[in-house]
Amino acid sequence: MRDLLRRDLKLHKVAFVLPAVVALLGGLAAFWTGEPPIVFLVLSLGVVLLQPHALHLREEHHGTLRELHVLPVTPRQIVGLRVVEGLLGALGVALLHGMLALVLQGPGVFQGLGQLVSPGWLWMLLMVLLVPLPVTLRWGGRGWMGLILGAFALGGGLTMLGQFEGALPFRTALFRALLWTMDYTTAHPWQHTLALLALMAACLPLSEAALRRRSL
Amino acid sequence: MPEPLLRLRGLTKRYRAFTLQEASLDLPPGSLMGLLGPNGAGKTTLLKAILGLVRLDAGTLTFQGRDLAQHGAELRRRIAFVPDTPAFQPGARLATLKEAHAPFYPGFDETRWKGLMADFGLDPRRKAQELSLGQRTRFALTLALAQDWDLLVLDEPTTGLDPVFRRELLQRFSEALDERRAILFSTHITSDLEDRADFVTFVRDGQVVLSDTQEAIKGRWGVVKGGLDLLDEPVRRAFKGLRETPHGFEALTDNLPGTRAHFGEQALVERPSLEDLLVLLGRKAHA
Repeated sequence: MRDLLRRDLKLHKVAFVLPAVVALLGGLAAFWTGEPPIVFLVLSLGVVLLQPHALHLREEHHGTLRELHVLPVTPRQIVGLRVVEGLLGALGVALLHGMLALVLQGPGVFQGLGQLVSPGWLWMLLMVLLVPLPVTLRWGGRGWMGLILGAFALGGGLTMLGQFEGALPFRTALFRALLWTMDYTTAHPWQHTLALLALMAACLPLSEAALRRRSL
Repeated sequence: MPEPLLRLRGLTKRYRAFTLQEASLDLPPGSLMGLLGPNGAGKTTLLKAILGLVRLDAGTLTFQGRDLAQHGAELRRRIAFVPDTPAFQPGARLATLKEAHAPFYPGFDETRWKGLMADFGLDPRRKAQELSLGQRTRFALTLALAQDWDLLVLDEPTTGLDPVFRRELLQRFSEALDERRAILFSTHITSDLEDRADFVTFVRDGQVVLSDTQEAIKGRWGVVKGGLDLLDEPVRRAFKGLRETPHGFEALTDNLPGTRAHFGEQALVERPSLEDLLVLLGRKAHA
């Protein structure tokens, strides 16, 4: 794992600069606009959590994915590499934002530590890094095209559904179930967090299986 | 024969338009095996299977007596690979690329790498994007040859190299072999392997059609050239490959003494070159 991380740091220096720039700009923007720093931190984290995908797609674009796969490492280690890159990036950005906010806006800028342990972070980690990871590892750039098109189709579909309220027999039950889940998880933070962690853990073997299926 | 360093049994990989069908071969230590076949025959797929780059539909691969599918990460430390079109991160310097590659291979020899870089006319300060295909191949060769490998897998490494360097390189391969090492060399440049490869494996249409020592192949197989009047149905069927022209035929037999005895002075029967085998093997009668 250490060798893989070093390899990426050596080979993708430019790509690693981007999240730092985003974090820096976010921190400065928080100062200039007067908005709570947490708003820009969320935006920066979104970008940083996309970074492991970007690194994998960069390898694919340059034709070096084969070289990565030929190395004497297991698929699990490659999955671990991408997750660690996301976590380290997120940590780095959070620290950078925190330091900038403290320097520029002074202590007390974060209104309590509660903000920093919000399950929202886990949702971001899950939805931006872990859920799309099997897609990136299995289909690369094509997978992301599929994800983006799928998101548009889903958005369009949901908009259309709104126009046909009551027309579809499953709709009421489905939406009730969704609303119940949202209510329940909001009211039961521990169960919510545990469920999120379980979902996150499920993404790892899925990513490994996806990577094993990739032919280069 | 010693225990094979690499053993393939029934390797099958199905794509939409192509299938590698039940490929089997044994590569003993201390030997150089040439993998010959026309473009699209399945040579690269076979090599990719060995390197774990494709997910097999069937078959087993053992290296040093151990299952490559189960112990791939550990065993690949002893396998060096040079692809047909090496790719590197464009902005990275060659020295950086080496630093990124070497830690994965415990026996990587820095001194040998520097020597190879000098011998191959490469400057470590150059960036990968500045290199031609031939130079990229040379660089990939420095990385592979500086490893402490037991198996060197080469996928058409001499394509894009000038003849002088190619000859030197082939000499290096021969010198690098010892009783624990073996080389698997895929190419369609048959002259690279003539009198140099201990074993030759022919792949055609996704099948291993012949795999044996070069000595045995040349002792048993023959090229027959003669007039069309010599061809009848039993003769056609007996040939392993046949090419007919308006003036005569050229065919491949796996029974050199028998064919000589059958045709006598009526046809020219001689030992085949690897190119003869590559051109004629598996070529259907009436083609």
